[in-house]
Amino acid sequence: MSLDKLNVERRLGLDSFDTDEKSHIKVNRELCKERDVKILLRVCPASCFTLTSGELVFSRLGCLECGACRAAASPGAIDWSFPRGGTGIRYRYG
Amino acid sequence: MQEELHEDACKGRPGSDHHLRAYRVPRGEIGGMGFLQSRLRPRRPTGACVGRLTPLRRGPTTVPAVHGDKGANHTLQMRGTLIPPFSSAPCMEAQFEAIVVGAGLSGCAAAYSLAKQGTSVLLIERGKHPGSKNVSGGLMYCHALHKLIPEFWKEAPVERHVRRHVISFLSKDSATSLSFDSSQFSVPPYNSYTVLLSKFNEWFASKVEQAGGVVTSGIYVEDLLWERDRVVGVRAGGEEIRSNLVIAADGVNSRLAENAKLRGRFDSGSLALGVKSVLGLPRKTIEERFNVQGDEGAAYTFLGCTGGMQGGGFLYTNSESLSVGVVVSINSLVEADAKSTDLLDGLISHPTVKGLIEGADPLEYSAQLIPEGGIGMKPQLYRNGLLVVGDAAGFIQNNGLLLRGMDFAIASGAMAAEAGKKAKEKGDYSAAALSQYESLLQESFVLRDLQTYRHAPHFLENPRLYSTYPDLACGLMERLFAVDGGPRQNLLGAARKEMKGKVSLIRMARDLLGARAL
Repeated sequence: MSLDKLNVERRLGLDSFDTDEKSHIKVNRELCKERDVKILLRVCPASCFTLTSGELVFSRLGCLECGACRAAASPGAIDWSFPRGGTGIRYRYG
Repeated sequence: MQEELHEDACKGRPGSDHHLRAYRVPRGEIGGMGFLQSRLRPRRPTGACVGRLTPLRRGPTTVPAVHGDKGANHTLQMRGTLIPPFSSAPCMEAQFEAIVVGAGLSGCAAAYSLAKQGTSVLLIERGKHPGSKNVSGGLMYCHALHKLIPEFWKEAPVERHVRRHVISFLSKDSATSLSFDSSQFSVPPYNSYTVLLSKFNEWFASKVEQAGGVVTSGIYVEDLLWERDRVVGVRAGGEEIRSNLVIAADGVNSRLAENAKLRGRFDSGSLALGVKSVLGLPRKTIEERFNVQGDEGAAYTFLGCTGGMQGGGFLYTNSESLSVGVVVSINSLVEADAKSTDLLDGLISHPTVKGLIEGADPLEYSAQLIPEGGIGMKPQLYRNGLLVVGDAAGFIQNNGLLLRGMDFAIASGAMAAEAGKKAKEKGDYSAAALSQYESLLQESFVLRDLQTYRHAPHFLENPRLYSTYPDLACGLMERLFAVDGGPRQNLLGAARKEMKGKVSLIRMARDLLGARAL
């Protein structure tokens, strides 16, 4: 299957993850304004942010720990950290 | 034996013992804090360690290897304690001379240099194994590592040394390319090598161990340990490990640099997002398609593939794969209303690039933030007992055609170790003593090159570089080569016609002048 035929889910399916049971990023409802919601939905290269019944939700599954969300959103819009040691993305090539 | 080890450990010189050196923590055996606690607590009579220690493949091993059943190696687990245990009263003495946080290139270079000079060093990696959290475009300029480990390419898992650099300006359906091919790049010491950082850094961390450093993975360092205004170690899961010097090599999203107020959060205007895919392709196909032999490789830089956003694309040949990626500035990504997940498609759907990756099999998808602000984003580089290196310090140089950070990371790590050595000799780890680090950087290519290219970040904000000029180049070439029997124009006339409505002559002249920044 060539790369151009793969959507983001299929691309992430190529990667290895050791998923933690706890989420390392949280949306901060008070500080996450409409502009941030729009940005976060677009800026994550793994589409980890989705709208679920009108609310922005972060799913840690597939998170590549790049920090693009933190860089693009206004300060405080999300509580950002790395996943627990030994969990998260495990690059085999890098 | 146990007594002997225990005694030595209490002296706070864990790196000085062969038996201790011979062990590493295997992948997947440690699950966060249980591991650290087991190492930091006083030894108990029965084995209750979470981390199982197995001998390192290379390096001095004096204790017999034990494999298999966990129940059988309790004694060995106990013997293998790497870190001097705390007594019930808190031990205020440093357990290591230095702690390096992050086993990326800069962290490995720092820890390796420290271990080489006989300094006891602990390298802590949050990933399951060193390299597992590291991504790069993939082109490493060799000089910095060659200085540290001469002819490293003979033993390191490198991919291909690059003999051909191609710069391609892409329009919708055509490409105008400039190719530079040098046989000089194909002889040692090589100019650059393509690398895949996951396995490369795993190798580099093994070099740290061979040199006598202690490497531990799967541990996330949450914060620095302070005593008044002095960093005296790190904190991980409520545990404390003490050292005289901490080197923050925790990457572009460094929490340590921020917590120590060496810098604030990097500004979005100086950050770019890179997305990349590694695509498997047989060695023979790579050689034929890219016209390279043996371990030779090619590196492509693309401009005009980002839908007008500030950034570009790249394609590098690895031994049996290609690294294909796109880098765009965070600000232009936000302003352009574009989706990060579509970035790669802009490149790989181009007919020229399509032909290069034809038949390649996707193996991995990755993303990485890149601090591209140059010298303008340089943070404070030291505090009492603390230095910051590599991406965490923003050491990356981008001039649009060449994006380099790996040699900066390695050199800054080595220089931090050098400053650490001087501090150790003087017994002074104060900020004043550690400021030596910045002097070393200033005398080296790291800060010199960043200084040379200090105007590049501003120049690169020019949006015409990412669509107008690539279109112009391709349009002009088309007028030159497309022959259909219609009336011809001389080159200058064709150029004027092509520029019409796109860019004025004055503006173009100004942009050209601005290119002095490169």
